Amino acid sequence: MSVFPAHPDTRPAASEAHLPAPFARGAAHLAFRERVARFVATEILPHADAWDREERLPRALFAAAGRAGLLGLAVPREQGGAGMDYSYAVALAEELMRHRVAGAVNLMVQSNCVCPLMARHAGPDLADALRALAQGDAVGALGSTEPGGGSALPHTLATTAVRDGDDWVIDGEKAYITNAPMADWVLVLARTSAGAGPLTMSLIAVPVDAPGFVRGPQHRKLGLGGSPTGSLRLERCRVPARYTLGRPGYGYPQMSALLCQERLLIAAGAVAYARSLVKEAAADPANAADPARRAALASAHARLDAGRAYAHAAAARVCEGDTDAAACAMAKYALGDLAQDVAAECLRLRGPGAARTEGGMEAVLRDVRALTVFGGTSETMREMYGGRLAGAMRRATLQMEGHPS
Amino acid sequence: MSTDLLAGFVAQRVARAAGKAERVRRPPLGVARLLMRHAGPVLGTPGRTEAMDARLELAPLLGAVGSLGTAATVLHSAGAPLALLHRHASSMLRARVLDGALAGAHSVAVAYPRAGEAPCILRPSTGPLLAVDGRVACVAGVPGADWLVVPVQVEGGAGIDGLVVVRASSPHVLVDRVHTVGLHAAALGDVTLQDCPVARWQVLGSAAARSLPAVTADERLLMASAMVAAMEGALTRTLVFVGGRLFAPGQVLGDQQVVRHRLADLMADHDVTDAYVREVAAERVHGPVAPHRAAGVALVACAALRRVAEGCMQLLGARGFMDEHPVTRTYRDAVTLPLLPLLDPDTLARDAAQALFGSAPPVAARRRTPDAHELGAMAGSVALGAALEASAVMHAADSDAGDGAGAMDAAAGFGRVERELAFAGDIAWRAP
Repeated sequence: MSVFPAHPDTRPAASEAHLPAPFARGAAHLAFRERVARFVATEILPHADAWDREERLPRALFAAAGRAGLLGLAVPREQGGAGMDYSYAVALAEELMRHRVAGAVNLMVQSNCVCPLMARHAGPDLADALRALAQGDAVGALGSTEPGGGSALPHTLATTAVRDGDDWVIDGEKAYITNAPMADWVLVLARTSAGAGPLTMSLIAVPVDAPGFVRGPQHRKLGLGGSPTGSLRLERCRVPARYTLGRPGYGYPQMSALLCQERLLIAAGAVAYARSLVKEAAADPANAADPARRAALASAHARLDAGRAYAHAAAARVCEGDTDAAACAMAKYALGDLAQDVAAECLRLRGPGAARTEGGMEAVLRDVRALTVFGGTSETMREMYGGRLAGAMRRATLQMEGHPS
Repeated sequence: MSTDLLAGFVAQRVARAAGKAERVRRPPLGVARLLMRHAGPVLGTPGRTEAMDARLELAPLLGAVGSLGTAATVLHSAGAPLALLHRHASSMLRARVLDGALAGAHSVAVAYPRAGEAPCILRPSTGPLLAVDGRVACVAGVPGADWLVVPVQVEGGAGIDGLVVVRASSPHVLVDRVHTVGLHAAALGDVTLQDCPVARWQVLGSAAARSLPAVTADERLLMASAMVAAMEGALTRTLVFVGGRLFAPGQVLGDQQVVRHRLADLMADHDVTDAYVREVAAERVHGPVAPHRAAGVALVACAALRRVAEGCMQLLGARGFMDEHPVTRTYRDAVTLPLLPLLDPDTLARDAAQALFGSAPPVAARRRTPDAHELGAMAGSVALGAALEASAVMHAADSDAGDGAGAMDAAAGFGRVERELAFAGDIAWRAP
């Protein structure tokens, strides 16, 4: 089931009836995309290069995004959000990523991870926090990855939370957390019962002013300089137990369901990112005049069209309440790999000058490497998808038993 | 014919015929004609939405049979030639060719042009006849077709000026069977036309040439749909194999991470291509698709089919190298498909590029002043152009479809030809 609410204004325009509803680009969707484009043009583009160089992202950007209604898409209106369905999250991801701007990832984490989890699972004591996050008055982060592991959390998670009266006492360390340097709230995944496995962990909303919360240094990364990530430590950090999201012990499935949908958003965003590169390359007269380059760009464009079709079809199923975790994993790695291949092709067409800092493409060389890493590495995603294939293999073999292949 | 009946027909008749066609390396034209006899009213009336609906249902059924040569033969029989004839044929052409094709009495093939190849040339011949000369390589549907639709260029012109319909058994039409590594159930032939006489009623005209991109787009979409189904068949067989093949005591091939990951990549290729084809197919049901969209779909599908077939063969190990294995056949078909002008990678890339660059780069024009001989030839070609336009006018007036727009286009074109004739100063032919 989608963490995003159903939204009524997703009726397709008549001319777009062939597209998977709700991706038919009706007036509401187009207006939303234009709103995002205006936001990027006024709030981000004038400062993007500076933020990338200085490796910072101002909190004011979150406030502006909140005012533009871009952070609380999944939050019901009565709780301070926009009450939109998943198709708008896809549109947001595509519009932010196609501009290749600093802060896109950070805004997406708040809008697509933190706010939906809070909206779905937080209790009444966190209502004010949710409203602040949805409206951009507060910044949120999702603290799951640890220095010792991120892909196999049910087995490797070391952060613990122990009940002490009405509080949790949390000990542990988190790394590579987007928004950590400026977050006001961090949704921490901690092990709250003995043993290993997916039902031994809980998601706890930790305010950064809680005693024992220590903000670690901001990471210096190869790329995405304008997308601050950092580490944090919880040293006997005391947090009210009523700040637990949902049922204790169910933090991992809650987060996994959300992460599936986030992966699909990253996939859609990756395609949009690569499409922007192809369109720029096509606008270069040198490429337009050369048959081989035209053919290469045409092939890339067609492959990206295919990727977008897949992402939209999968997202349409999410809107209908059918989130296929394996399919989302596949989308993440297949379309992330595709976007990197296409980006490499476009950079190749630019020639050696692509590496020059004044060329405008140098950031792409650095940033694009993240597409197959954040949100789950391609290898992990292959393993998730491959795991489903293992089941399919066994079923197919049982059905065919006795018949030669 | 309902979907269930179509599915039943394909599963029983077509599958059986496909097996034999692959073994003897002859196209299953008989079953293609049988399909037209049973489903002609549904499949053979292009321009109706239901017709494309039916063909879009038929394409994956044919692809799943596991012989893309058969799929290409059957889809082509029920597709482009009938669409062109239906829209542009005169009553005489309908009576002699179209009606018989719809009844499954004979078959028609289209000799698609390929990027970079010179089209056949249409020129004056004796008396009222015209003649066509040229060569088209790897035409699908020949040998075996009774009639050929050939794109032609008026002598001295540029591009495709019109289409003509010639009898394949004419002594002026030479067909050399092309033997290939795959598509054994498809008739593929190099067609050479030597002074092939063409009567006025055999000319489809310039309006038909303008229909060619749309008709080509439909064929590409149908073949892409068949390719997706072929991929699915190969993947299913591979899934079963790696899930049952012992690798070590208690372990099957599929337990190896590298095998699972490889299979995952191949499934991703299929799934993404499938979504793309479905999106464009859904668009087509509501109206024509842009040629660049169909070219993009075909480009992606051809490449994905090749990767999937190769990958599945690899996972099958020695079995994948056995010629009679169905996955091996899919691989052979996949590497042969680019031979078809319809699916030629350069042509597809050129057409798909219009999505980014608009129309194709203009051909550089000659700059020097033509001499008297060339002026005469140009006047003759202009006259031929007028002949094509006039034929279109006659056919439009004659046709039951009454293509009023085509007649207006022809009249406008004739006006242009008139002006060019006056400039050339040598009026070789003037339309009544």
